[in-house]
Amino acid sequence: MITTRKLAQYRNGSFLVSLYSDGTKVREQTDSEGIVEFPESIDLKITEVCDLNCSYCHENGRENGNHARVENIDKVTNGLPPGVEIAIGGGNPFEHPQLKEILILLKNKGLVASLTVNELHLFLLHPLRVVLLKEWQQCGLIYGIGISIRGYLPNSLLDNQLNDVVWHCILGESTPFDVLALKRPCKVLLLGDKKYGRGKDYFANDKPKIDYWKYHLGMVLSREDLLVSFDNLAIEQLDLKSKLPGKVWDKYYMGDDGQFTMYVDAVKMQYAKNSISERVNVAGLNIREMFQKVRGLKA
Amino acid sequence: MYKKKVRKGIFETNSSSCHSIILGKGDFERTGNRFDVEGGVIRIYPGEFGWGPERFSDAATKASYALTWAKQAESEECLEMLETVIMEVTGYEVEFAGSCVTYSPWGHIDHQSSEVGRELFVSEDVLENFIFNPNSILVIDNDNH
Repeated sequence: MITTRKLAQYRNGSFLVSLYSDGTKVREQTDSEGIVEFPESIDLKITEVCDLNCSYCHENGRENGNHARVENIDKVTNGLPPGVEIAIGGGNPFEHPQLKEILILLKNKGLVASLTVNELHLFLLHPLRVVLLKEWQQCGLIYGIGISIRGYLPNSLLDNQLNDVVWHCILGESTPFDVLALKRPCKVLLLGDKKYGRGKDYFANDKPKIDYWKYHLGMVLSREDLLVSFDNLAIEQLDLKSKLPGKVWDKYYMGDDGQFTMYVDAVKMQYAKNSISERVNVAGLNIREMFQKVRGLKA
Repeated sequence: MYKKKVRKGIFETNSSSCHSIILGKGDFERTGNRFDVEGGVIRIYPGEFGWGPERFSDAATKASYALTWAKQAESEECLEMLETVIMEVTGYEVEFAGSCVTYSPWGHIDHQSSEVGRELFVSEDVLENFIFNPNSILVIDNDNH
């Protein structure tokens, strides 16, 4: 029997936020002010290093990149209450020589860390990393695991060894039928094409691919054993809002980037509304100050 | 009464922006016979029907299957029938779009099913019933499992 327990609950200005062990988050507004004091989740870049050299990488991942200093990660996560989520990405997070130290640091603060890796950095090339991730999940160092699919390996290889896996599919790099080919039940995150970094040229002419997704989106969403999530860019590119009943949108749309979330590049010590918007130097600000600046920044 | 927002069943793993909406069973009710219309034109796309098992009942996916079969069979007659049927039922012009993202430009139907598709084009009535009758179910599968 699967039981869901409450991982954390905190007040954030006008909002009461509850996070559950299956990843469910409930945000209740408790007054009319709409005050948000700190981000509910931070997309945290901990390294620039990656050997895949994906031609669409919006982060310009490279083999000779730099890693974030652990003390900087400590600084940018100070002042957050237990339960705030930290989505760790890179580059390839496994390249960071102090990854486990970072995870312990976050756990000691009560922060809920998740990690995103490319499928090519697991499975056949690095099967022991799956074992490592399993151990880290069991001791609460990480919760969700995002795995970016490149279409080479079926998720059946994972064979339910890990919990709370979300398969990341970039619209311009995968098809609706790639999603259907995943072993189900499973969870999927559809990501918009980021025309930033190397993705600027790569996705310059992506309209036919997006149109193809739009046509077949209903087919994907009507699968009863798929839980499908979207980032804001995918929502915009797929014109999702127009396809959903208003009550579904009102209940499940969690907000624009920067409203409750933000991006921090702990390598360069910069922050932004999201990873494809204007980045600003941290310059001694704490996370709450950065977040208030983010809320005033242009996307 | 203030708003309550729910993100169900997924931790935040996105390292570039947030999970802004999550949809599961029952949140998206595709109207059986609905096609997106742009500028008075319905554009039908092919698809990859070489795997499975899957069951589809919506018109857009079944039309996609019919298009994929007709293109694979290189049958102008079947393409014309498909265009006529969709146009007559919906009242909109019809265009067939090429796919640029799949293994072949016009999608794929498993070779062992290639003759099944021919039965769809026996008559316009049969094709219409296949595409627009929600009780007509397209079932695909393969012999690799």
